[in-house]
Amino acid sequence: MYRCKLIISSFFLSLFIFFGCKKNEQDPFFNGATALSISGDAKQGAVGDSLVFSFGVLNSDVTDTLIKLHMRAIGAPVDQDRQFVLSVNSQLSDAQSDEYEIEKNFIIPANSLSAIVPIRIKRSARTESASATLVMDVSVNENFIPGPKLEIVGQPTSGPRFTLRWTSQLTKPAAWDDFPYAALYFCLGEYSTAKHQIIIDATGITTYDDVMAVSDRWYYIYNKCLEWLNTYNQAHPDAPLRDENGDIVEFPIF
Amino acid sequence: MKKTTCYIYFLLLAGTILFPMCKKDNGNYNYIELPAFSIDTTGVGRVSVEQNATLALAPKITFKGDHGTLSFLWRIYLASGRGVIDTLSTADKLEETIANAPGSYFIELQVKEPKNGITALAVYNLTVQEQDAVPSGWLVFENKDGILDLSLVSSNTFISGSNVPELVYRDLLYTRNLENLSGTARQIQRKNSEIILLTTDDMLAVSASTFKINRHFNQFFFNASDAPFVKDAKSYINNGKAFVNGTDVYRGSGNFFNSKIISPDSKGYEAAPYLIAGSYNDFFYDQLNGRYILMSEGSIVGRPFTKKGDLSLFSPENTGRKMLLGGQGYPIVSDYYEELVLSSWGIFTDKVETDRRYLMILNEDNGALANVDVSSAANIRVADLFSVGNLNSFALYSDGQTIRKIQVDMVKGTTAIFGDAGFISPGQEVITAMEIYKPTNQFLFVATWNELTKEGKLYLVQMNEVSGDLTEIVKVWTGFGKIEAMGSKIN
Repeated sequence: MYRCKLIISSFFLSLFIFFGCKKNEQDPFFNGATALSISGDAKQGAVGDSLVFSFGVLNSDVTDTLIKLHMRAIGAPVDQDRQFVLSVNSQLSDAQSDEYEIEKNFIIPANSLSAIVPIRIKRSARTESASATLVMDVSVNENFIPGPKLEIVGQPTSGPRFTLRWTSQLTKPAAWDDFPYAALYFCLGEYSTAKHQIIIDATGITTYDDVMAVSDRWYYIYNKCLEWLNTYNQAHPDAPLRDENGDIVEFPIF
Repeated sequence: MKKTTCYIYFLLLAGTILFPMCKKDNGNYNYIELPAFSIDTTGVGRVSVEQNATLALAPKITFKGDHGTLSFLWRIYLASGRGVIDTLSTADKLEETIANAPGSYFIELQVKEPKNGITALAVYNLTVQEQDAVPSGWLVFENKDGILDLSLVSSNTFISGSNVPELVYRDLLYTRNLENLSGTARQIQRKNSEIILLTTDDMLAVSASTFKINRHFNQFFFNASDAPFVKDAKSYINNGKAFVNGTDVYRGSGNFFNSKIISPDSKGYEAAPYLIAGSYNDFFYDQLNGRYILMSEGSIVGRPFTKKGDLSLFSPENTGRKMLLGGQGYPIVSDYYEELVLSSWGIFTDKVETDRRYLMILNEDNGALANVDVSSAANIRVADLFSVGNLNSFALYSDGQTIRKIQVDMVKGTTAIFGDAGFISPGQEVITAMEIYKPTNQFLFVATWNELTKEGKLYLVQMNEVSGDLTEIVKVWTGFGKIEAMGSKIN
């Protein structure tokens, strides 16, 4: 009986030792190749491996903005500049060439492991009713291979691909006519994106969850929208402002 | 048979009710005459005390009996809202430190008579002021060699109450803020716990108790960057919802201004420097088009004055006149929200016959009320001061030397009696400001300036609240700069 137990224990022990000698193929950097990954800027609204940007909540004078991609090299720094290749994934992207600007040459500076790639995205007639998508991939070159996807809770994902999506469309805020306040409906009437844009242009206010009817903030929005519309219509006496449905924009007058 | 049965039942019922009334009353009680017992609060008025100061009240108790048997209970509680009822004292005279937070309170006195178990009750209105608070009084906005400051006179000649000090608080702005103001003083307006000061260069809000500056001009706007340049600021409405900057009217939520009033049509407007406050709608006079324009609550879109009233007097939408002087007063009407609002009075000139002068009166409830040709009133063409009574249809005006009155026949609305009111500035003094003391309508404050002695004086003149006649100079304060505006500060 004792011999039987000894044989079984020895078998399992040799099994563990044998597999303990197996080469670790889970580590892609085992061969020492340096990799490069992309992430967005949390301050600009990057979430996960993408960033969605809306020009709609900005004053209509704002026609473009700069998005920063953070490039991070994995491996040891070297004492010379290293070029890397960032390519547009044409199969996953639909942004038109005149809707963004990006540099051609990208470099991780000597003795550094990071760089910032600015991409200028633009408002266009198309983005007034649709969104533009730009998918950027790290391509292999003599210096880098695409880095692994690293997810850290609460931070933008770092990985070999980053997706940028932007639009100029506005969406109706829940606070417009939902319970409990319906504050904006009370002072500005039925929702239209034209009215929504007037609020933003006239006041710069883009969030409305805390706007209560007859509060100072509510009066401010109402008064400034009336003023903005009056100024516009006076400048266009024969063409009063119309909304996306072709209706003349009007606000309730108390 | 049926009839007989009915009679029997009726007699039985009547007997049941009437028979017990013959029973002798054996109740164990008798009647006694209760002693006269009351607390006299006549003349006490509103009581003010600084926080952590001692409040003394000695009630006058009428009681035909032994005062030594009475028990006393003094209590304090908030005048509105929920709060704790605190016992202050059980002594016959109150002399206690009031530690309650600044605000309005009631002080209640219960006096019990043990023999017959009766209680007399009195309630006093108490204002607890911040420490170092300035009491109620009359504010004067004076100019001393180009520097503006405020002084306050306090006296029980015009303020009721048992603890009104006889004092003059001078240079309140500088002593409380170490700050000077420039320009010309325009207006003093009370708004809740603040006093609004309007000058040609600035608008300030100061605490009504400490006179610390709370806000300057830009801070009256929800977004300070929306504030215009101060352009000869002229009038701040008493409900705080509008003010005139040059010829523009600004409006907002009541707490903040937001935007300029938009003309109701393409004609535009030029606002006269006299605003008329209502509760929901306020209005102003458009000098450019000779019309009144309404301003709704919270809206910046001007609207036509649609309440036309008696159009045979004048049309508020087209008077053809320019406003020279304005004021508010009689009649006081109750508006849609049952709030009391004053009527608008104004001295106007005809845009064509520029030597003519008219007095026009209207309010939002009734429309036009009076249109009187006052061209024959003495020195009306050079009048630069105007004040309207609240209790009867008269206005006082002054040319700087004499105060005269206009008494309007409000039934016809077309005639008036003119005459001297009873005040002529003494010697080299020139009248620089004149305001009816509206809490009572029984006094007129008159400010004078003597260019030779460089001294400003303040006269308190007894006024008949019905006729506007000025009967007697009650008090004179001296040693001021040139007083350019005045207003009451009642806590």
